Amino acid sequence: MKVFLMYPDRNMNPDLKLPWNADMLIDDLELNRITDKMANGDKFLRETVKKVLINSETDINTIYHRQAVLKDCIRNREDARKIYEILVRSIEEEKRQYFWFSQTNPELILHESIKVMQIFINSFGELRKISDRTSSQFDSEGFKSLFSLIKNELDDAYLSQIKELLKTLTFPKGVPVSVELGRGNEGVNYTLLKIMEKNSKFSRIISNGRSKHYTFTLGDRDETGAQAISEMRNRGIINITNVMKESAENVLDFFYLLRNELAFYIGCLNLYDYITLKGEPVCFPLPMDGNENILSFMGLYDISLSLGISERVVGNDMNGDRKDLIIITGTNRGGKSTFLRSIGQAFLMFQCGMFVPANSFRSDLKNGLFTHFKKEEDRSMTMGKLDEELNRMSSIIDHIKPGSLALFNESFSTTNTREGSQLSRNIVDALIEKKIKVLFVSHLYEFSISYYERMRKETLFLRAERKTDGTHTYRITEGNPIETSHSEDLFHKIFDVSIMDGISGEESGKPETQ
Amino acid sequence: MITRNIAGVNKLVFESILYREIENKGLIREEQPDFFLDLNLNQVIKAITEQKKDYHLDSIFYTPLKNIHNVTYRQKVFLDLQNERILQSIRTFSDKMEKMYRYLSGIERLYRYQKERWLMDSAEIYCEAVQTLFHDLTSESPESEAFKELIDYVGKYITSDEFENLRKETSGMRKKLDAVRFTMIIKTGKIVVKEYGGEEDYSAEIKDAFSKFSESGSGMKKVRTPQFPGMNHVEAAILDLVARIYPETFQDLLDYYEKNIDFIDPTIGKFQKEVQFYLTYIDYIAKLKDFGLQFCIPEISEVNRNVSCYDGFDIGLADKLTREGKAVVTNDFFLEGDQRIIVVTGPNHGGKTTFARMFGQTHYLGILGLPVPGTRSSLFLFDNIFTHFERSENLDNNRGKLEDDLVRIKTIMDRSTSRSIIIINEMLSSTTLKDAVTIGKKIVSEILGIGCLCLYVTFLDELASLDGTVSMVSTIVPDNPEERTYKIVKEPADGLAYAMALARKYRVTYDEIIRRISS
Repeated sequence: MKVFLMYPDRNMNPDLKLPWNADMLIDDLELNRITDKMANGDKFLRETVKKVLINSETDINTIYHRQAVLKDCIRNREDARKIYEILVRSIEEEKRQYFWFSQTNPELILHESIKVMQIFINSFGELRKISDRTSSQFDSEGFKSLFSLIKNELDDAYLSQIKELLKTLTFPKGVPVSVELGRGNEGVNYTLLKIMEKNSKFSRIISNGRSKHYTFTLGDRDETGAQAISEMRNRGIINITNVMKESAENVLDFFYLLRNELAFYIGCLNLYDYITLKGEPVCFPLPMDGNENILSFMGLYDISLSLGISERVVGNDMNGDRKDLIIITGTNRGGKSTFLRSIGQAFLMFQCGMFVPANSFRSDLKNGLFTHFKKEEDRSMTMGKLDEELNRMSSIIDHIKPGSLALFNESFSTTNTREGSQLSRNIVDALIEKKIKVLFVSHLYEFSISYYERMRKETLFLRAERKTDGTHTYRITEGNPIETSHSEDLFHKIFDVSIMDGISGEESGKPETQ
Repeated sequence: MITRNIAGVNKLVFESILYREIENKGLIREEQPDFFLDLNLNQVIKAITEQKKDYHLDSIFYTPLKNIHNVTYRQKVFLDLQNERILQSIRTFSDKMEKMYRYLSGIERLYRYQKERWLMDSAEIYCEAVQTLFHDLTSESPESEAFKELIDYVGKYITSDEFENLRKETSGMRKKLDAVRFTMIIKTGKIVVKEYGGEEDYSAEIKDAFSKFSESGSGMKKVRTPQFPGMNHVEAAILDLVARIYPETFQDLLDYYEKNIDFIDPTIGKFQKEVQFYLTYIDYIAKLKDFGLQFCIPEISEVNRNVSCYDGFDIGLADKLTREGKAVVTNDFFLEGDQRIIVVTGPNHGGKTTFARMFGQTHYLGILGLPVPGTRSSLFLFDNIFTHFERSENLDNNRGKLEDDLVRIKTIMDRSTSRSIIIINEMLSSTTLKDAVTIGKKIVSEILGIGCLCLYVTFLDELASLDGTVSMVSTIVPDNPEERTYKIVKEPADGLAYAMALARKYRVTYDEIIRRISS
């Protein structure tokens, strides 16, 4: 019994692990606000959406598949939520009543498995009712296959046959088995035999005819003997115990799977309802086939920023098609980090099949997303700052593959400008040669200008905009690197004096050059 | 191989996989040699033999070979065992024999019909083991003398009447017992036993009905009925009832037992025990090989003192480091021309002691006929190893530390011959530098006079430039004197700019990234 809500051809892996850099992605891209809103207070939902969000899919059909299922959920939100409730309720019921997983005694396991089967066979009945009523309103392949499984595979005749068989699996007249001799003449190949109807011809032939029979009777107070007999009985029923246990576990797995898969969409619904009510735009992104470095969008905004404030936030446009290196320079506090973060978030949402926070968005699929952001504080006291940065870079190299996307935010600025630029250049050169797309926010002028001077047509330069009066617009537009980060702006804003008044620093006094 | 008189003719007959000729008058050491502790060989050999404690292999590892023919006899066995299929066939044989011994142990205490059946089961494995061994070995045509003679021996054995009868009777008995099938109706406190009457399998029907739910192959952990080895009194009673249903079969079983009670050939039995020497060592080094460390079969010479080893390592340390997931640094040593003494100097904690141990271990293992750490190696058939390692103050001893040093080295030099190996790890640290140099030089020249091989770890740089010595130095990372490379070399170091050096340390230079990201 498979569930196809998350993949066109398979179940979601229930033990999906977070990738090695999950914590980095969560911190750097401020994902917690997003997953909190999706979870809406439900711990299980948060864990599930977190895993799905961070584990990007790289197959275009999976993206289309999920987008269709999500659109179904948005259209039929009441029924989707109702199915989810049935799943959660029957899992809770099973959990409350039985502890059969911990059992080792086959007779008890058999008994418990039968009961678990009985609970879920009732829940199947409830799902059937919803399916009969609403299945025609769902268009996605994911939901269609779910409804057809419920309708066709588990029809009434089959369910009642199963109910009857479940009743026969106790053995009041003793467990009948056939046995052969194995190593050391110990009994092997215990085979459970079908109980004969009392008056059938066959059974009379056996008991009256050719077979001699002998009876072993247990002595009084022979407790080890009683234990031995119980073990023999267990060997007789072990096969059907395993069939029943496996059935019960599989049915349980099916309910768990279906709940896990649907949980993701319920989370998407929660976020969708909130953000659209606020009036922010969302759209379903357009996945592009092939590997031509397509990346363009309009009105892309930082959704976690938007979730934290009541106002709407500034969106950005970018035409980055056929660019493998995008260098973002410009004024401090001008929105560069927000911009980089919005791209990272959009990629994760895009590649898990969600809508994205933008008016429009298209891109090819990336093999993996890696962030290397400057850390505000020194996390580990055991290493120098540059050590820490390079060590983090090294673990990225351990995992990154051609076709990945790497986001750098003010990296390698913990050493002097010359060394930092040299390190950055070497790393970026190697990455783009390995067909890895790089977005790099940097104020290392030597670094950015060196790419500008190379005149590569695959490099795009963006700059944080600043109005002539010095105020920030928080918009990022195309523009080549200039040799200052407007630190004096900040200084002026904070100290309310021009930097020139206080310090006659050579560096900060330089005029803008283009 | 031993010459035996068979039917009036002297013939070479396979005797032992360990010795071609009688070694050292057949004397086997039961005690560890003195230098084991200093070279950490006590730990190494313990780790090796511990895997197969029951075989008591220690004494073989405590007894270095004197006879070059025996060294090559073993080396050639190891060469053959580099053929995975030969190795596998020996393992298979050995495992089966172990299983057989397990079956046979404690057999006398068992129930009637159970005891007799275990003997038959053992004999079945034995026949199979011996035949498979012969078949597997012949099809691989090993080249060592030892295996060739073994094949010859086993070949004759399996065509003997003794073996042929055992095999036939065993398989006939097995067929009769396999034909036994009976039905039990298991109630509480009572079991009815009768001949099986053709009733249907009910599990199959249930399985079929529930296939929709159970077929996914989810890899569920199946519930198992605990299988206690052996038989309880209920099972024994049931077996007695079954014997009444099949009286002839069970009488045959009793007769079979009387006839075949001692079925193991002594030479085959001895081979299986001795071959553990090879298997246990191969198992031990396999774990190290998994970490990319290499082993080679050294050239052993009675004449050539230009010993060498490339990419060697301290096998005990390597075992420890690989268990902890840490890298192992390999080192080379070699003596050329008239060089007899390797003088090791350099900063402390740089791997000098490890290097000294490696030198000693490599020789010792080589002379046992074992593959040694390294990619290639030449070693000398020494007569003894003497070690002089720094000792913590011995309180029972009234002599001063310098005196103790000198007494110990004197004893060693008195006992050494030109075929010996002396390993010295730091001495003379308790006297003035000037005196230490003077005495050190004297000792070096004495050792050169004896003509033996020597490795001398010292803080005295002056000793490293004497004639007949070769100088080796432990090295550090130039930018970071705290960091050790554990390389023992002769090269000077080069400097690097700080950031680029760090980039190299974290392997994020342009070249490293290109290499590390697979396309």
